[in-house]
Amino acid sequence: MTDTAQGNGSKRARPSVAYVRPKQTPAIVRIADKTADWVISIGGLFVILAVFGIMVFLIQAVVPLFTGGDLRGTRSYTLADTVTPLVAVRIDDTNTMALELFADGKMAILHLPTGQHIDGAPLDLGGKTVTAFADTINGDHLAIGFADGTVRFGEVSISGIVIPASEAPAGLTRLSETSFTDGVSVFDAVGPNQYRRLSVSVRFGEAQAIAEGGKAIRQIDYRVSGTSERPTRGFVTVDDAGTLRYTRAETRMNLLTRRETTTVESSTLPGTGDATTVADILLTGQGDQVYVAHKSGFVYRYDTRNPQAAAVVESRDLTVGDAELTRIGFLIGEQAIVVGGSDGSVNVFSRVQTPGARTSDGYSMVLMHPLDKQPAAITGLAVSARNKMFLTSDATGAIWVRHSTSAQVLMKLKAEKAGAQFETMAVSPRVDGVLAVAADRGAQFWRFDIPHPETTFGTIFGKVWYEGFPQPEYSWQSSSGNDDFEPKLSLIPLIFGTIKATIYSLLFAVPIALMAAIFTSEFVHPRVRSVVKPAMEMMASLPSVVLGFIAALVLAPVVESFIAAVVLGFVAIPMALFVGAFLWQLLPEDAAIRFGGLPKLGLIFVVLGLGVLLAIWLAPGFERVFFAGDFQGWVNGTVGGGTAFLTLLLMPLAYVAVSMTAARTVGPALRERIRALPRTQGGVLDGLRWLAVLALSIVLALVVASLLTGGGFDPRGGVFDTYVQRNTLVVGFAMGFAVIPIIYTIAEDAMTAVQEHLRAASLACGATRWQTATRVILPTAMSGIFAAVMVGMGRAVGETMIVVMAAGNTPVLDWNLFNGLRALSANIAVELPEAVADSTLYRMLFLAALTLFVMTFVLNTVAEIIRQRFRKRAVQL
Amino acid sequence: MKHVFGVVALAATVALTAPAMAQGVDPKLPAYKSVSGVSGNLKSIGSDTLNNLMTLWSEGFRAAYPSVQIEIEGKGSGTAPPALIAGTAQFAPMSRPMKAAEIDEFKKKYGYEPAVVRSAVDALAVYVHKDNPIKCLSLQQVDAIFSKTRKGGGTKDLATWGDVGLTGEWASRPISLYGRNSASGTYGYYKEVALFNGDYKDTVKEQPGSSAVVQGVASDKFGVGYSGVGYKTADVRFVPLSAKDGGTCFEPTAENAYSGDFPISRFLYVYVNKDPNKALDPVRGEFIKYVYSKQGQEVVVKDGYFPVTADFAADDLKKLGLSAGTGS
Repeated sequence: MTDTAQGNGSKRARPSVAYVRPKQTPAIVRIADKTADWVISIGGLFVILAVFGIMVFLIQAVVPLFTGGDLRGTRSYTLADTVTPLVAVRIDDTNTMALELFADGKMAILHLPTGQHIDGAPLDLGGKTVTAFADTINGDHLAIGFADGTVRFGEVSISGIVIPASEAPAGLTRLSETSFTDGVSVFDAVGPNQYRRLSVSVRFGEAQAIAEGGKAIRQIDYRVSGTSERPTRGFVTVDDAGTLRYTRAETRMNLLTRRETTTVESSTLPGTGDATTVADILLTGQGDQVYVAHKSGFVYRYDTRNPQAAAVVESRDLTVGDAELTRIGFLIGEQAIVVGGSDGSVNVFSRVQTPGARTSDGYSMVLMHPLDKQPAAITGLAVSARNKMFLTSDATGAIWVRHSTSAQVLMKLKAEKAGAQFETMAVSPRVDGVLAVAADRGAQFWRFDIPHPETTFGTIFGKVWYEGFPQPEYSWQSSSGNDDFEPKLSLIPLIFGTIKATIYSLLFAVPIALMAAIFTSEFVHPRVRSVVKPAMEMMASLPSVVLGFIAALVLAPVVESFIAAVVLGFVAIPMALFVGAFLWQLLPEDAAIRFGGLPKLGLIFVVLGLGVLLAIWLAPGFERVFFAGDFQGWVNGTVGGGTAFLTLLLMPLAYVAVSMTAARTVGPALRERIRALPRTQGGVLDGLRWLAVLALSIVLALVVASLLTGGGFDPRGGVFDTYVQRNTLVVGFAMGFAVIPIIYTIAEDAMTAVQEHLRAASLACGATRWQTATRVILPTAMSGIFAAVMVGMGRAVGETMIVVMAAGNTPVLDWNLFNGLRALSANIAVELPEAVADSTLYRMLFLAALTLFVMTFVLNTVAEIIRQRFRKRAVQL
Repeated sequence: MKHVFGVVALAATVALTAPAMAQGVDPKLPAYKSVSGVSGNLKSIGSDTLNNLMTLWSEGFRAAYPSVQIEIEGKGSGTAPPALIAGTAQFAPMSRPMKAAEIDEFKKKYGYEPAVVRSAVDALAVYVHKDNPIKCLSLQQVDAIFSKTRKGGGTKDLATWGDVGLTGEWASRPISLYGRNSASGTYGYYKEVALFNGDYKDTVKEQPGSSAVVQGVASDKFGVGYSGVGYKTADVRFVPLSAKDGGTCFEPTAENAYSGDFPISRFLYVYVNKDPNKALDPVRGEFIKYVYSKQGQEVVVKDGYFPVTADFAADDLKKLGLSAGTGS
């Protein structure tokens, strides 16, 4: 740049002039120039860096969603008793202690970091033989069945509290550097002068006689559920005689008097044959279903909603061929059943409502997730109490950590000791460890970390079969208020929502904005333009939350009550403008010129207003004729037929067809006639021509519509379906407000920037202003107009507050104009406050952000490439 | 089959005097008296159901201690645990109990469980437009209206008002569903009790707050929504509910909520981060005492919820190492 300046300077310097311009650019200018150069370059670089930085940040936040788990360590142990049968093992949530409960009532505490045992106070089982055992999924509640037909219920908890060192009892025995015991509890040093005291509490109630005649309890299942205001408990037993007994109690506390009322329902269910072949029985927390699984693989399902009349409603072999059923259990929530077979198969079944079900209650058990087979028979099953994870061990000593929703194997753990067959497993409450006990009482503990078991590429972008759903679906329901919820994390409905909102709002905004741009740049006086343009730009400064607020609370109810008028408006307003234009042609030439400025503009608004009024006046009649007098009933498909509305839809197509045919056939002759006539008469003839074309196209549309509906086609369903108040039409209007000014102002600038000589040449050759605008200005300004639409689209894609407030946030997957949507951006805004940092939902929201980023990035890149193409062509002019 | 559950068999404890308190507060609740030395800032983040209540309590509390600054944010119970864990809030009001997973997160950072107080009783009400003639719904019907999995046992999807027995112009109209976003404890509690842990339909319009749900129903004649009982306006009415098909329907009144006859009554909780080995600092302690005072519970009634009794207050205060009444 400095060189050019010098060059100019030397050229201008003439010897005859007394004042000699300094040949050198002043140093200060050069410095400023260089500085600006650097600042701009560095600034630009930083912008690019910032964009890349955001991208990198988003990616690194998202990547952990797709990685599996880490193994943090493992250690082997031997249990305190290697002879007496083991009833249960439990681990505490810090993975410090394991509780071993044996069939003779002996309890031992295994200190996991050191492998040392502490003997707990034994449980007095009265010398009875344990024949059945059940626990709840979280492991807090136990039930033990005995050979004499009695059952005992109990609670077990391992609780940890932090105490100051001064409160720790004296004379502690050292277990390790930081752990001590007093023979009952474990004290871990955590922080300065603080101990965490972990202690076990096991409480069992008195034995309850359940089976008559002292028959042994063969199988039992026990559930404790309900809310804290209404807890419920239930259990089922199978005794030696094969008799099935069901009991369920619901407790309700009066929150005023604290009186508790418990209602107990008990009944004996019809048996399923031999008790010795029963592998396990299951009861749901709600107490409405009982499953009896036989070793053959046959599972009998009882409907116990009315316990007195309970019966088997379905029986099905859940294993393939001769394979035996070795393990069966509920996942948390008691919706899905994991079945392990002697052939190493592991499958997840769910009870779903199927229309063609041959069962009496309309439900059937279906194979929801066929999972990877293990190399040998399944010997153990343990289920997480926090999510849909579970572990299956097989006869080769391997333990596979799996997740039901994502159907993936997260980790394969291998026994250190060859030939160990793990039968009993205890998952740590936080699902970060498992203690597996083999038949020979050798035990192994693994610690692992699997932060995001529920996400794979398939669960996020593919169809997933969720518990209780009749078929695999794309679904977004990210969280709920309890632990047994199955998160549904498909981004597809959200991406779809964003696209739906964008398309419908652009369909509304682009024609209006472009027409307005053509009008102000080509048809009005620059003085009008200088008022209209800033006014339109003012519209863009309306905060979108205000637009969303108005759309949701004012526009949505108004549109709902005047829906017929709104639909009619799409026809009536353009028609009114057409009629107005043809009437204008009837004016004598001098009047037309005299009133061509502001009065004409004013007339446009009057006609517009008339169109709106007309739409409102005609709406009831329109609704009667087209929608059987009830628009909402009509779109819902309950009343009326589709012919009339289909005619309306086909009108634009029919109009184009008829007018093109007319232009080809009678067009030239008619044009000559009109040209020969005086202006007013020519106007009348032209108007008549238009009316004739309109009438013919109505007839054509009606004929085609009748044929289509006769052939079984109905315009309802799809784009026109059940009406809900917060819908895409309203979003389209509100978003139009946000998008129109942007598209308008950029497109208008592009058109105004077209060189004056092109416009002048076209007009001088006798083209009308309309012809000049559509055939000269538009193609030349195409790159700018395209950019305008793309910027508008970018705004619509990222727009948040309008969709949050007006769209209803329903993650539906259909194109219905009259229902809502849930956009990516709105979803991020709604759900971010509840996402715990680094949780799955948190990372999913970052993935949503990344998706949005990629969408706009691709969109803008494609737009820029196309724009450059147009631009090259325009520059040649 | 009387005491089938042994040690966990439920002992029926009967209060000796059932105070007659139709819509007033328990006369045994002490009046709040301010103490000296209370100052500082408090922030509450959590339930939207409790938002107005927290605001009213903080107004009352600030009348006694003008130097205390209290900020309240209510976007949903799901926002409470993250805020309590991060330490950005001292109070975490929630309209559902914390999930085990949330308690895990808290314990991971602090080593102890968060403390909880039951600050009020709510009947989670089902709202319809004031012109809606619906007389009664069973939970099974509510489930079939709101849920796509229908775990309550309903065999048929209830999509129009005709499906629940309305006639005339209502019969053909689809039921327009309003609900809360998933951060809401009300969303979770309603799902657990009224939807029997099933899944919401995709067509339930998720509103960012309880008042937006009621507002939505008020402006949508064919709408139905759920929210805490305190958000009632003149444009909506409650639907009486029955726990079982064909059972008696109960209005969400104080008596029915206390007795549990109204099937979705619940406690409203406030969680605090209290180290079990340390006393609560005066400002938080006094605030909780204020909540459990006569004035605090009168505010509950004023906001449309139902007050807790002195026994509950004493229990929860004891757990926090506070004594009812004045002084610490």
